[in-house]
Amino acid sequence: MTTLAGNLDYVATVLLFVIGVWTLVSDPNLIKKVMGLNIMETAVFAFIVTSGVLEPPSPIPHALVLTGIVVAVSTTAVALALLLRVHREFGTLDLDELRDLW
Amino acid sequence: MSLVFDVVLLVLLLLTALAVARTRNLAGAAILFSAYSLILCVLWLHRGAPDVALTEAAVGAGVTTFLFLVVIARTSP
Amino acid sequence: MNRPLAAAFATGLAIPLVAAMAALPRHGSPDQPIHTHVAAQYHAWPHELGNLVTAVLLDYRGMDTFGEVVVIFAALMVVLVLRHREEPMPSPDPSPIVAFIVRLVTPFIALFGFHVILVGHEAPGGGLQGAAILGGLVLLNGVVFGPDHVRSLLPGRALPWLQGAGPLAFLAAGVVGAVTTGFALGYPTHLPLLQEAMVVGIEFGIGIGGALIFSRIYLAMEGA
Repeated sequence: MTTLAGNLDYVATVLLFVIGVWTLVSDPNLIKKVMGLNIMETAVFAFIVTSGVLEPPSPIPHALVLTGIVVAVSTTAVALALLLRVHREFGTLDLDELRDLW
Repeated sequence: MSLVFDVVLLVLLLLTALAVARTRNLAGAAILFSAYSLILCVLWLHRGAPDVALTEAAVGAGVTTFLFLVVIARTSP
Repeated sequence: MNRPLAAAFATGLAIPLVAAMAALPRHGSPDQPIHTHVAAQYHAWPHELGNLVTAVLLDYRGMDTFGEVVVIFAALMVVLVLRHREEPMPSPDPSPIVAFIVRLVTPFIALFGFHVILVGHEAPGGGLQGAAILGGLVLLNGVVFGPDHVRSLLPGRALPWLQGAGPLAFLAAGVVGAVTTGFALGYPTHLPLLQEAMVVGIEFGIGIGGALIFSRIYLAMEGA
């Protein structure tokens, strides 16, 4: 059990993750929600790479993060394609208006 | 010295993420997201991860930002 | 979701996560959870490639990389299912500065992208990085000059086959590996030239396939 002050890097990545969750949950625009999802994913990558820093440098966490980045961009592409269809069907991308139009 | 650089990078990262979260203008949020991705790329280099930095710069500032801009251009009236 | 509830949820999520960060080993110490399980074995095994990241991605975790190229191909399938004919936007009128710079810089970026793909087994680089660079280049041209100009940059008839180049390269390498060694994606260490050819072939497949998949996703989103 170590102190919080020695692990400030991890605290920063966790705060980044919480900022992403907050964007995803609270902003009514669907595009901002996808941006929040991206911020969450990059925060997790930051945590993995930061926890993988070692004195003889070990590149194994970097391989995991590379696969993660490609999966993140695939998820973003599919989400944006779905957004385009939603906009075509309903004419708006605001969640409050969509809730009335559904 | 590298500790100061580390703290500056992390603070900039948090500020840019907050700016992306709070901006109402969508195109501005997309450009801020590209800036966030580039600061993250510098953080990867500081952590000694050149492969991840190359991928993050190309994907975050290249592919993801352009896809956001295309969708924003198509869906704004 | 209304703002106070979202703020309370975010705070309620932050507190246990930040408290959990205090329980992790100190930053930089070797008993982090990420170093104590499989990573030690990967360091102990011999590998001929100069870049350990590529060795992990293609050799020890080759099946995971195969799954990843299938994931990105499946994303292309979903985007193609969701597309619809869209009336073309008025063709963009880029300012002469932007048009000149993009036209000047495109060949150099393309050269760098191919260099990154080819040098991936020795130095930082590889298939994924090259795919992102080349895909980003095509998207840059599309955003500046319009999707019709982009279509002239892409191969015409061979495009559907080249998009599947990632999974196809893995399948070919799997068959070659199964024939020479006994395993499905095994690299024959007794034939170093064939091993290097397999690695470069897979890198090229991932690189070209991934770049064309990104370009096709962009064209589908523009409604073309």
